[in-house]
Amino acid sequence: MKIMKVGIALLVALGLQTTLVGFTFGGNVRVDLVLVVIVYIALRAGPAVGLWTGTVGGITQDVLSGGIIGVGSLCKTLVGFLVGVAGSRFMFTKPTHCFMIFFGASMLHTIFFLGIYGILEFRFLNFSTTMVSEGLTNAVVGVVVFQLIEFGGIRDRLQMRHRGSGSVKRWLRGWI
Amino acid sequence: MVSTRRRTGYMLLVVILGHIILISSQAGSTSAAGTLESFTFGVFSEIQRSLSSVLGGLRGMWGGYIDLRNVEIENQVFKEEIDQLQVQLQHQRAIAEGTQDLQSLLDLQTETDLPTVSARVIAADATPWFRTLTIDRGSQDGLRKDLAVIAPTGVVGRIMETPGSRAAKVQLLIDRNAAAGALLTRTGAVGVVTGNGNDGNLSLSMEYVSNLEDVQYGDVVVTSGIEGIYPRRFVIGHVDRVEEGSGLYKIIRVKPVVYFPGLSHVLVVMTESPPGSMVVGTE
Repeated sequence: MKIMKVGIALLVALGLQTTLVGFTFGGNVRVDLVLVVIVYIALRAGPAVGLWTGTVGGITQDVLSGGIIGVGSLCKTLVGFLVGVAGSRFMFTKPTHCFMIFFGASMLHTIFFLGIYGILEFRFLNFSTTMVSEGLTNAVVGVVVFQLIEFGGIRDRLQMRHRGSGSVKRWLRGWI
Repeated sequence: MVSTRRRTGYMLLVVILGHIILISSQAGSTSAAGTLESFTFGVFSEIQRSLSSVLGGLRGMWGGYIDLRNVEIENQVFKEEIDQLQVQLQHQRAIAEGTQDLQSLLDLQTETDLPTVSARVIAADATPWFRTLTIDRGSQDGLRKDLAVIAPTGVVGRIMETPGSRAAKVQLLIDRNAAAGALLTRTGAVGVVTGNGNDGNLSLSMEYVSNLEDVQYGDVVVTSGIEGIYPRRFVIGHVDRVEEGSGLYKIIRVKPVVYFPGLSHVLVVMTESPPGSMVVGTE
């Protein structure tokens, strides 16, 4: 069941990435929805699931994008694993924490990607501002996705406990 | 008994090793991962086609039923006619410019009717690192690797790898691994246009143009056809910035005439490689 959920999440991310994002943002704002999903799953499910999600998501992206198959996948595998390790040791509940982990994961992914391609192509690839803006976009999208899903879970729990608005206020205070 | 943490560590090592083997297997060979690639692309292009159809349907509901439907259909017909006419215009301009050269004139006799197949864009980049498109035409429509893809305004890219039966992947000219032979129409200076895929402003670079050449802002850059993929003298873009390089060559940035994010339909040029032309690797 978990595998199916992960598969569906990756499929939806890839579908949105290829059919909506490329046309909607006009190429000026870059976002990697697959990476966002990998980071989210790694945070929730730990390093082993993060590792495999990164591998599957990355390899599918590699095949569809036309680059060297395995480079993007290796980067996403490492990011998935490392985020999973971090997620199993620390609590990431506040939006600021989520933002940091999504942004950090994006930057780590960029560094791995540039590093591996640099080794393969025997040239130094520059780190540009576009890559930082991509990291920021990924982080914003990640925080929104994370909070939306978490919000759903907390709301359900609140409804079950019938605690009233006080819990919602506490939860809203936790955002800041 | 092996602990979970240690087991995950071993798993990571195995996966990394698998990746290294996969990447190494592609060195010097473009077909090593071909089966995996064509299978995944074939499956996913069908999903993309369905998604694109759903999205197209939703757009149709907005555009067709809420607005005036007949006007939209008529507009679509006119748009396609304009596209075809613009391609013809470009080709006629290429012919006119080519008449200065007797050899070009002879070549143009065979190039007068540029056979094209129109295709719909069904998906964009799967990752921000590469600039590719998926179109809804494949090998069953006669498409094959390295056919040029153009838009009414100019050059778009080329078909990369062997296409699927009903879909093909197009490498855009702005991709970091793309390149095309180019020349400046004003001076005839030749060079190679390469993509700046990681650049946010979707620009191109023109390389190997000598510092001694006269290059000015606004100069028109067209295809030279030397790589044997793109038809000759099709517009690539305009010189956006030019600087003296520290070495032998100028640093030239080219702004493409095609607005890549807005592409919805393209034309695939169904020609054989020009005889005697040299194919250069663009992967």
